[in-house]
Amino acid sequence: MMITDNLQMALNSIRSSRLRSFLTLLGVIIGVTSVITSVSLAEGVKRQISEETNKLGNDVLTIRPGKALNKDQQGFIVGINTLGGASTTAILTESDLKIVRETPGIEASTALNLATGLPSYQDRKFNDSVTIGTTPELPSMLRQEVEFGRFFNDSETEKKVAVIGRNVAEKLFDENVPISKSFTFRGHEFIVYGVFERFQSASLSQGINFNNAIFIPYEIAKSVSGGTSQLYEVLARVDDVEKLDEVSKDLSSRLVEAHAGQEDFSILKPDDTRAVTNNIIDLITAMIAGIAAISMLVGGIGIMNVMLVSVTERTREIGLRKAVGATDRQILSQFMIEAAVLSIWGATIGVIFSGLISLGIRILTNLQPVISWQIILFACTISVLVGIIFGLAPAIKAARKDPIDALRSSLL
Amino acid sequence: MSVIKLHDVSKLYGFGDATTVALEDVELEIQKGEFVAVMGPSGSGKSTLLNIIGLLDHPSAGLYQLEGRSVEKLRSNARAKARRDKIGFVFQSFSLLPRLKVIDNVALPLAYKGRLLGRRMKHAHNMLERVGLADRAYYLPSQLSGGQLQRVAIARALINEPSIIIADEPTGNLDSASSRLVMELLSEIHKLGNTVLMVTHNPEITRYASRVLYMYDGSIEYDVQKSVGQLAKTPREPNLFAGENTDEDTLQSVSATMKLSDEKEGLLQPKKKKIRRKPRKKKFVGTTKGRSKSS
Repeated sequence: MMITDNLQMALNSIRSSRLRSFLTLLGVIIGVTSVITSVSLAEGVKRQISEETNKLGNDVLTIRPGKALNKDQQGFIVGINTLGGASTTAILTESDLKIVRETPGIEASTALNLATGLPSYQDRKFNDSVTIGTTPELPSMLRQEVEFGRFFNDSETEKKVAVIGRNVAEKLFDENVPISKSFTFRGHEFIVYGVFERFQSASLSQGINFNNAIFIPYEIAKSVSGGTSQLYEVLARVDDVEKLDEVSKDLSSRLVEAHAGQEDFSILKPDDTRAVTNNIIDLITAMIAGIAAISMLVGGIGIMNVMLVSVTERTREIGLRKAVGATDRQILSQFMIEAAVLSIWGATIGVIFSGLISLGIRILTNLQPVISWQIILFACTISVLVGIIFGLAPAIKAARKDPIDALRSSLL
Repeated sequence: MSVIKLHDVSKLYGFGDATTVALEDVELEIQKGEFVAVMGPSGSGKSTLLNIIGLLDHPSAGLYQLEGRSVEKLRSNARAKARRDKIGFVFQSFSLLPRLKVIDNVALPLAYKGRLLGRRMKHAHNMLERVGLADRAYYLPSQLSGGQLQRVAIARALINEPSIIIADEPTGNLDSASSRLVMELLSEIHKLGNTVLMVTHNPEITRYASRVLYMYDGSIEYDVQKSVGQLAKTPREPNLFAGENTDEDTLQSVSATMKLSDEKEGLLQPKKKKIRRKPRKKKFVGTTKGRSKSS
């Protein structure tokens, strides 16, 4: 008996009981759809975040107060301090910035200094805004274009000027290009010099959504908030990517020395910022995929159920086939192939469904799910395995039927 | 050479007190080219005999040789292959797979033999031509008449050129015209040198056979060789109660029972009607409408 004959038979029998077959497939469809959708969603988020961190460059170190990561001896990340710098008692000061600048191998650096207070434009306020004092190196460090206008330069660090994020333009000024408009911050008047291109999205590790940020010169930020300066983070670019680890270690030991032997800061390498978020996402993905796998199991049991019913229904057919010379193995493979065909169909429909769902998510939200061929292959393999495993018991039952009892059955 | 040789074959069903003997020490030898008709009342073991010869069932005791080779020790797979290559079945209730086209049904044994599709179809088509149904090759079984279905079943039985064709009441579900067609086909096959073993209830049909077996209570009581075209010497089921009862006795007792039941019915009928009608009218006037609608 050729496989093609069995395939033909399987398709015939599936077609002849469409509703029953569809109900069986449902479990597999839901399983495959949810596995692919959840994993592709996670993959998409990961990619979006890594695009952003890549933008920051693989040669940029981020130094933050407090411990952002807990690592074990092997250097694996075992815990993450998601609250970041905001809640820690540790601080980074200007002297730390100086140390960063003096560390050999560091080509350029910039500091981000948080200034408290709300900006107002006419009688409007934007509550979600963050005002950050920084240096003219920032755009090149973040690798972010100023879409309209320009960033302030070295000669303007004493002027009350500002470059704003997209959301600030829209929410505070209610227009796209509020260049040369002025707003008030802590009683001082600032003039908008430029508007940043939209930042991809706020990554979990970054903490601050730069789309909500108002960037003003560092010294001005210090003076308007009363002469104190608490650094939110310091970005430092190394001159040689190969020496990143070396420089990072050197910098770390210098800072520990300055902090009286305490390591109350973190130096995040580009990989680390990615690792933090990827860790969380991987965990969530695994959980969702696990739940989805249960529905795959349910689907498998559904297949087994239908195949068992089918075997009973077709007892006489089995008897007849045996009478005309089908061996046990030929009957077995007939039913196995039927189960496999059922699950492959389910998987195919599931893949199509998950494609549609991903498309819907892309259109309706700013998430961009990525369906990789690996996950499709994985989901399909699993579902076919499920079909074969759960099809085995009914197929064995069919193959073992005594031809004489089977022929006596009144069903055909 | 004998195609079939049974020696002391018995078949028992059940255990202990509930044991029934379906076959008891059957001795049978069938030569190549014979057309054997098996007759006997229900429960006499005809079908069991056929199933054992057809390798569908195992005898409880005794020896069975198919084409000179003992089959007791064959395993399930080898039995399936022997069924495929050496035995052709024709069942009473046509037993074609309803979802397969006629030609695919005929080709099924070849498919299990692993023949390629093209060859299968060609061969099956030739077979259908032989039974006069080539024009129905791509019909579904549900589109054919009973006689046609049985001819398809015969084509399927013949396709592997088996040593013996086993037919279990092939005309049991057919009208007399279709029966004749089917029997003439079987007879033709017989004339071409095939061996046929057939169970039948219809004594007329034994005309086509060259040998008639009468079974009773699991044993072969009579084994009559005869020429094809003749009725067997004992056209009716042999009166195995001879000596205890005569035909007349039987007839008398039957008519007596019928008379009695007639009278009983005659007495009961008017009463029944009265009882049934009254409550119906009163109680179900409203609901009968609904019933007829729903039906």
